[in-house]
Amino acid sequence: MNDTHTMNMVFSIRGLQAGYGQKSVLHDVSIDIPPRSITAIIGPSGCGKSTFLRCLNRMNDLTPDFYVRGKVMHRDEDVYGQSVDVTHLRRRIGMVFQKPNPFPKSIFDNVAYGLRIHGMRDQKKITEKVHDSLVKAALWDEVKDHLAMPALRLSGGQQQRLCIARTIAVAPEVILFDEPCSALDPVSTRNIENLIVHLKKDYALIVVTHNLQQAHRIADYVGFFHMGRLVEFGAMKQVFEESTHQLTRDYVQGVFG
Amino acid sequence: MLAKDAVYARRVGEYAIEVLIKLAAFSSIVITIGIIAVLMTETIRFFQEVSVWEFLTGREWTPLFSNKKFGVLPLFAGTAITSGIAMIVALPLGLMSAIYLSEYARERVRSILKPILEILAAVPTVVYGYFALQLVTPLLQRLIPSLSGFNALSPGIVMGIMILPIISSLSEDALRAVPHSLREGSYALGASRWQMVFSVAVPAAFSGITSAFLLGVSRAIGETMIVAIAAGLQPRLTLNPLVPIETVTSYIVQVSMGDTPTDSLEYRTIFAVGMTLFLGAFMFNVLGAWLQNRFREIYE
Repeated sequence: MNDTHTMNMVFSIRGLQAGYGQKSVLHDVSIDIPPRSITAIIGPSGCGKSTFLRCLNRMNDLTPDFYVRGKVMHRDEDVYGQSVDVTHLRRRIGMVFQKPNPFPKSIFDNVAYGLRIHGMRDQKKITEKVHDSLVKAALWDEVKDHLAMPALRLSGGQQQRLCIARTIAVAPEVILFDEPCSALDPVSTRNIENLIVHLKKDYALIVVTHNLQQAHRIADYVGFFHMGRLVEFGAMKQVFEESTHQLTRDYVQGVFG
Repeated sequence: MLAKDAVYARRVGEYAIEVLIKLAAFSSIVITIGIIAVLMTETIRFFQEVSVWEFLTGREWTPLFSNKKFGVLPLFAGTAITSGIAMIVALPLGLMSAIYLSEYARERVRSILKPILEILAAVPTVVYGYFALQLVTPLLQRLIPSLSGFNALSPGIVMGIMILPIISSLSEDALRAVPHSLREGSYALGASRWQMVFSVAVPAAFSGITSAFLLGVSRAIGETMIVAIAAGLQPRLTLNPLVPIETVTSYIVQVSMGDTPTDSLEYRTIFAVGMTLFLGAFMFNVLGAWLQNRFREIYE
């Protein structure tokens, strides 16, 4: 851990508390997320892992009564600072959701969407970016001949890769994944996992998952949440095999879930 | 023995109820067929005396004068211009208020605003008619001195206000039916709320908004009271909204309320005209259904 600490962290979070109205969900979470790596967030249902993820790109802002305290730093920018442009922030911190959510538009327009809303007008440049993003998301070969087809006709796994392509297109630095495979079959899951591993050379990836095998297969670092607290954070092997916390050991061994 | 009687009585009861509700369900079909049959017979009798060609292309409508002309175009023009003005008012206002209610308003604001908007739909149209004649026309005359006391503009605007809650309410339902996940997908890419609304929510709700619009149009072309009161009863082939005109519906009122003998050619004009109105409204309904199917997105 010590050598990574000297590197510039993608996220540096201190004393994060969050909740909805009277219900507090996260208590005093502090964590540093290293760049160009995969961090898995694990924990039983209702432990606050999704809320935590959504604090990082301020997706929780959309929920009424949501509150947040503490510091969330992305590089040297305070995510909840007064002068932050949320749209600009979300562009740099991409997010892929549990259920694939392509827009009811063509495959091409789905990927071009982010480029267009951020003001890109040059058709040649858009076409080029759409191509590059679909290649990076390992979807190009399957869709190159029908880019005008409605995205909703793709299979679930393809839709999820399209959503990843759409996110990549606006050139984020971080991509947040909120249980990206839980609505997919095993083959599609494996495709997405391979893709995530492949993407870490360019991006920092934070993956919320309730699938421990998945975390084991892909993660470099693992954070274990329980009842709104970060119980443990460390290298994957350390958390899964050498943990000194009884709770972590019980959870990774399947004593509770 | 007793138990058997009870079972029998229950079966008879069940059967009676089934027959009763079946009758209720089929009564609407019977009534519709009856209306169409009456319209058809009288329309056919009308067209035995007046050619369809003259009816559809004639530029003058004077069946109540001694020099009778049966060109329906002036009435169509009257209906088209008042409905057009109504839609120009109702569509943007309705869509904007739907967007506000569905995407911007907090729950508390919405719970106050929506019922108030729906009160507009509960105002009797005769009240709207006098509102157009006594209030809106004089106000407009201050802006446009050449505006006649009876005109298409004022009832058109008031009709737009009447239709507003239909468009707004149905469009809002369509917008709220757009899955939250699509909104999140757009926000997550850095869209502002306005961008999300216009590039994701509105296109995804397109079929619902279209059917709201078409329902509004068919309400407008069928609306009678407002135009009968405030538009004048002068069939005139014009698209000028500042002069008195007559719509298809207000002509029917004029004849029905007047002293036209019931078994005359003059009287049968209202069936011919009513039939064309019915066909027009039917066309809009079919178009609406087709568009809705054509553009429906299936969110599984």
